[in-house]
Amino acid sequence: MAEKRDSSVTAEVERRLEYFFGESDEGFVSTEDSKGMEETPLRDLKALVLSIDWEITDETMGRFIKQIERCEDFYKQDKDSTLFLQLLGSLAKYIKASGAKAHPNAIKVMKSVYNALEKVALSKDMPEAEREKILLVEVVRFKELKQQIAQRRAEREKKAKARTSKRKGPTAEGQGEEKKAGEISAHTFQKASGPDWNRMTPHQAFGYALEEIKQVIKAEFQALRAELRLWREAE
Amino acid sequence: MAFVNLKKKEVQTKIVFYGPGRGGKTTNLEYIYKKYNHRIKTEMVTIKTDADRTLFFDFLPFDIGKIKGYDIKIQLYTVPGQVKYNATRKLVLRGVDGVVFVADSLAVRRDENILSLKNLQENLSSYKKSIFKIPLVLQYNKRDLLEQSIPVLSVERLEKDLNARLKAPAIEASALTGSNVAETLKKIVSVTLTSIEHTLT
Repeated sequence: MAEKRDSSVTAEVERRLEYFFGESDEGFVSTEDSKGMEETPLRDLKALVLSIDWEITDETMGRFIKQIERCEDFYKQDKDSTLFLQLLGSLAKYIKASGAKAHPNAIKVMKSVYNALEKVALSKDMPEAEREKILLVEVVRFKELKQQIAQRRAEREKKAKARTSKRKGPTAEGQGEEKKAGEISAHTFQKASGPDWNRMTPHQAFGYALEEIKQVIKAEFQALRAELRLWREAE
Repeated sequence: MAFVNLKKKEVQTKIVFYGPGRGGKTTNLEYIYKKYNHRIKTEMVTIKTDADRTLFFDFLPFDIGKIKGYDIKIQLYTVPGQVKYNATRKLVLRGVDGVVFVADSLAVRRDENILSLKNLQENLSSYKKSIFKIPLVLQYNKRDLLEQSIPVLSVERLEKDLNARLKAPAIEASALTGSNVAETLKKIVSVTLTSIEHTLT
């Protein structure tokens, strides 16, 4: 019984491999749409989206951002495609800046925005209302992601603030250093509480988030250095 | 061990092309990438030295579709063949599910083949894996050189040197012309997936 079950898996694997590595392209994407894609920079953009799904590297993200710019130039007459590309651009910059720490939904939203872009850009006969409907769905997804990121950041900042105030306490020595680190953190938190996210463009929001992340990291390093110095002095 | 995500019904398998330097490991991957580019749809990542040798590794991921309802993702890696890069080879072997040993058919490379296979055995054993148990396919590469009157090792010699104890599937190939490159890949993917079939049923 087990043998029968196993051999059915093996047979399916063989069939699948024969199909994938066979000479015939039948069954693989060779539609009008893909022919259309050959003539556009979307082909390379799709390859990069799929690569990012596997692994996020600085090199791939850099190429992805450049390819988005090429697409923006190619589709500058197409308002809807341009908007999709702007969303993709913001997501790409965020993922590049955050790397492995990017919100887990960011890649999902990126893939969804790309698929929608491909659909809209390659279907020239699609009615305007339908194009807008697809765009709206992606904008809503994008906004939800923005909220999730903001929420996660707020939680992290809360934790960082708690850590910084802990460090401020016991030793009189090196207080200057501690204060310096604390000042930067306080400045960061003050900035974080300020912005009105709804009034910002996606690009501005991500730029803002990126700057904040940089500041938090900088502050953390300064605090760590101060702690190390104190520890060495105490030795 | 293949990474199986039961929730997403996804299986990721790692296959490493191993063998002596200049044996044709990267050429295998390049052929696959060029020939099936329209189906693979991902980028091949290669890091090379100035002398055009593989410095770290080549990486080619692709998705072959669904088997038993699972999305099968294959990751192909090569290792740098030169003796001095053993640390990198060891690192690339981490988590390997299947190995293609690309042997060089050139007569003058006989010793390098044997040393490289021994090195594979040692590196696998550092991860507590046995060369006798891991899904393995031997590829006797550069068979096209036979037609150019260049001294090459006979298949019998290669079998005796490398496969006498392993008894692994062995395929004659030419990565340069593409002859049997896909066959080798099909074989190793098949053997590797069969080794984890209990997960798919």
